[in-house]
Amino acid sequence: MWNWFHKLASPPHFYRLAGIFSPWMLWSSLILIAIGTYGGLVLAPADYQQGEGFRIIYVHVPSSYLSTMIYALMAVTSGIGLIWRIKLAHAVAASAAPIGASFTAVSLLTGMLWGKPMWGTYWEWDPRLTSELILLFIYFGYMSLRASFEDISKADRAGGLLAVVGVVNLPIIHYSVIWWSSLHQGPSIKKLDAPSISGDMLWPLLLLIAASTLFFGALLLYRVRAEVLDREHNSRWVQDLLGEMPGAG
Amino acid sequence: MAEFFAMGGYAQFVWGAFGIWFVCVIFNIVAARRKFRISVERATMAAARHHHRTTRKMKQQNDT
Repeated sequence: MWNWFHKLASPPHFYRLAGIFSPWMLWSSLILIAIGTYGGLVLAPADYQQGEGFRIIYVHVPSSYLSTMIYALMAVTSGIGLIWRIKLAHAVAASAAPIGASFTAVSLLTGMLWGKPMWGTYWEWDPRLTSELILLFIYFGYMSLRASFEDISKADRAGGLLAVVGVVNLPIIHYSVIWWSSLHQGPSIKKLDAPSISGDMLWPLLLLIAASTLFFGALLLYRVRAEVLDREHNSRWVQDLLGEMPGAG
Repeated sequence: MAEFFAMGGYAQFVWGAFGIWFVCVIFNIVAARRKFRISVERATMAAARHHHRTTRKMKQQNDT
């Protein structure tokens, strides 16, 4: 088990495996996203209170989920990278950040589009909305901090520290609807045994959450491969790999 | 069909939200591919430089 883990964390091995898996993950996730979108837009019945407007949840919930899940992953891998000095862990964190930032922006924008007809306003300085906006700023801060270093290992240390400290925002986002009286509604699918949402509305949502997680996985593998090349371009295996390519001289 | 596109009066919000989501999905694919391509180019250049250096060194060793 430990041996297997060590092998996976070795850059050439990871590079090869990720190259095999990522296209399959990408295509299957896109097919599942298409099915889920069809289910959400066409098959699911209109909500008795929110009418057709409720369909926004099919894109809002998966992107909100991704925004926090990706950050959690970033914080954990940064922590691993800082403690055990595993470069691949930092590469994962650095690769996850732009994907996480994009879905945080989508979460905020789709939430605004839902808020206008339902609450009567695009924006309210509500705890849930504000903490999600802060998450977006933390992502931006992390990326610009990394970009400000020439040296990758310095960027890893500084960025990693920021990612770990910024994790305090996650429980604030999660519990904001419970701690403070918020405009934002409470969780609907938290309790899977008795969800407060009907089955034909629920399956497209669960499918889209799973599909977008798979989509993220594919993108992450793709980006980590690029990060590995950036970090290892002086090592033997990269030179052997790219030396075989046409036009590489 | 028209009724479907009207989304019960929520058309601009529902289609706007799905549009943003779709753009984000496409953008992420394009950005990841671009990042990968740039990294391959950079690493290829580095490999070529290295190759050049080592062959020159070998040549020098052969000459002497």
